[in-house]
Amino acid sequence: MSPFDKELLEKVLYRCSCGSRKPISSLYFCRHCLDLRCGFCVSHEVDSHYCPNCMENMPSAEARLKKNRCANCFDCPHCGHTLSTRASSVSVPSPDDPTKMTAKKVYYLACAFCRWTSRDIGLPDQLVASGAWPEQTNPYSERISTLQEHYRTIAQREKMEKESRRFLGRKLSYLHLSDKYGLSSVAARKRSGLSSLALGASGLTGGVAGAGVGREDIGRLVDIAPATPVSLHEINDLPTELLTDPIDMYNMTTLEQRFAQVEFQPERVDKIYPTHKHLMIKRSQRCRRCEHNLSKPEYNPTSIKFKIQLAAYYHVPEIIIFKVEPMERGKHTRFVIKVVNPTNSGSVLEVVSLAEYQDTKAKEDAARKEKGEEEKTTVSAINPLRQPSIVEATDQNMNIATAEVTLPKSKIYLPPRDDAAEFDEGGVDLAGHVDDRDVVMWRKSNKVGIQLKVKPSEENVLVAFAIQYQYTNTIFAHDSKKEVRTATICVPVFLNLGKAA
Amino acid sequence: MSSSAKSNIKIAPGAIVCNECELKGDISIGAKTVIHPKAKIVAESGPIIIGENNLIEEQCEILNIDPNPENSHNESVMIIGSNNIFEVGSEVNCLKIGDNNIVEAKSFLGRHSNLSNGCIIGAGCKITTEETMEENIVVYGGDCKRRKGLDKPVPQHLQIDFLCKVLPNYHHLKKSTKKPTA
Repeated sequence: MSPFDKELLEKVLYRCSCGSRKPISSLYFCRHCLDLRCGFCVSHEVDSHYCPNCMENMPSAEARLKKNRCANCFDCPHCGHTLSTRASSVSVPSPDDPTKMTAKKVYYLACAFCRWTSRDIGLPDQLVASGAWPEQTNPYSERISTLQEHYRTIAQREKMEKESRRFLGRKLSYLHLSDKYGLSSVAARKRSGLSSLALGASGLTGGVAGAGVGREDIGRLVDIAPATPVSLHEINDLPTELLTDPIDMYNMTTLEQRFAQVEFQPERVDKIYPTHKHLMIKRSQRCRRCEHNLSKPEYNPTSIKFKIQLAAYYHVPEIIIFKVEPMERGKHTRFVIKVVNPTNSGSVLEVVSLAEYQDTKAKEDAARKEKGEEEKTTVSAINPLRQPSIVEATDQNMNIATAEVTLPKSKIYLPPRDDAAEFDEGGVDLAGHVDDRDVVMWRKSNKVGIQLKVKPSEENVLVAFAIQYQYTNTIFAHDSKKEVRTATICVPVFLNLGKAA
Repeated sequence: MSSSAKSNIKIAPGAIVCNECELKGDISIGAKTVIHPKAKIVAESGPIIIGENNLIEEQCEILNIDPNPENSHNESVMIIGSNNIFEVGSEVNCLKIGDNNIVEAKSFLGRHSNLSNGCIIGAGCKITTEETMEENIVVYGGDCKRRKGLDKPVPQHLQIDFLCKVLPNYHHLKKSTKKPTA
């Protein structure tokens, strides 16, 4: 069983601020809101584009131009694996002496997985290792670009008309004087009977003479003609050979192979072309409520590190089910959980029941309302069109526990994480706190084993409680204006202890 | 009753057969064939005839073992052609292999499948179907997808020449038994 199996991940779940239950590895901790955030409470943004094969960074404008594809790398059209360039020697007559043969290197593309080569479709071997591979030209590309031009001019003209219509209410004489849109010259041309000029000028005749007049005078340099229709009778029916010929499955393309080249969609395997490799993105994640970055990767595509990494694993105590005695319904069984404190500051852990957690939350909400903080619709500082929001699901968490748990009454001290502790002989420094021998089973630097009791009532034993701990914001300590603040954070936790007899 | 394991190994001159490989039964190896150490060729239920220019790499198993020894009274002869490559860890049980095939690393060929010429069995693929592969077929992927190649794979002469020169420097070789023709 790999450590990333879904079963193992689902054993200990934390409640995110939106109400969903997630394992600690899928959560972020926003240190400004002092709250957990999951994938849904976070806005995902594209940080940079890069090619997964050559690891080349590409600015987003260039990426959009190249349709998010790498210029140098190709994908095998048959299986989708990356193509590698291989060289072979060919003897050609040397240019100096036609009778002598010299060896020259020629390159071809080959797939290491399915052994497809560029020679399979008849592409000639290239003399240059990269960059010389011929591209397929779309036979309709000219028609599409002229159509695009045509519609673009119409769109521009409509935009100009809309702008000029806004000024119709104002004094006309002012417009004549300023000649802001070249109105006077166009009006003069119309009166004298000359054809109106292309594009911008022609758009304004609408402003003067009313809508719709200028449109017939297109005056475009290229006249767009609609495509010539083909009569249905000319198009051939399905060839009857399809019904009589034996099927040659090795030469037919599969749907995936066809859709990889949407423009051509070849039916035969000897017509598939290598496609440029898709770019991948690096994404950064932002808390939806306070707009601070929670996760920001490094710009270099070969680096897997992060500039900002506020994962919950590094800030929230992690609970691991350490040992569970065999459980029987109706009987009290003991189980031990291991709590790990990942931060650099000590914390006092208190285990509270979910009912207490709900009470404290309700009191906090009431206190906030009394202070008069209304729910303001905040505007995002980054993107003014977006309203930061976190949707909270109706809380179904309070009733899913299937077993009663007896919680320890005492508070437990969690020592800070000390990297040098493994070389230090000597016990764990408890900073003056006294351990309850019934509750604390063992200690090891920043880890504690805590014993609890459970009384299962159903076969699937699910236990729910909340942990309350201190979070010290050491990052602000560098900024001398703000002092180090310690906040108490309470997080509901759900443990799946297994099956009871 | 399986045939007795009396070893009768004929190695043609020019073949490079390392001492550490395991050869059992009636085996005949052609010229310029390279057999790496830790290869295993077991001819239990019949002789194995290996052609020329083959490359049999480490931990490769070429087995002529009949799973039901009581049923067959005849000896089944396993014939392997020339210019084949058996990569590391491959297991070959089939009786007929033609020329220019490549059996990639950790692949498995069952007793009833046969390879013709130019086939490539991809890494990790298990072929147990009762068939003779068409020529130039490439089998690849975890689910053994198939593809028809244009022509046979390139024979690895350079590699075999290199091994013929280098292997004797580091390994003891089995002596060839056939006398070279005068």
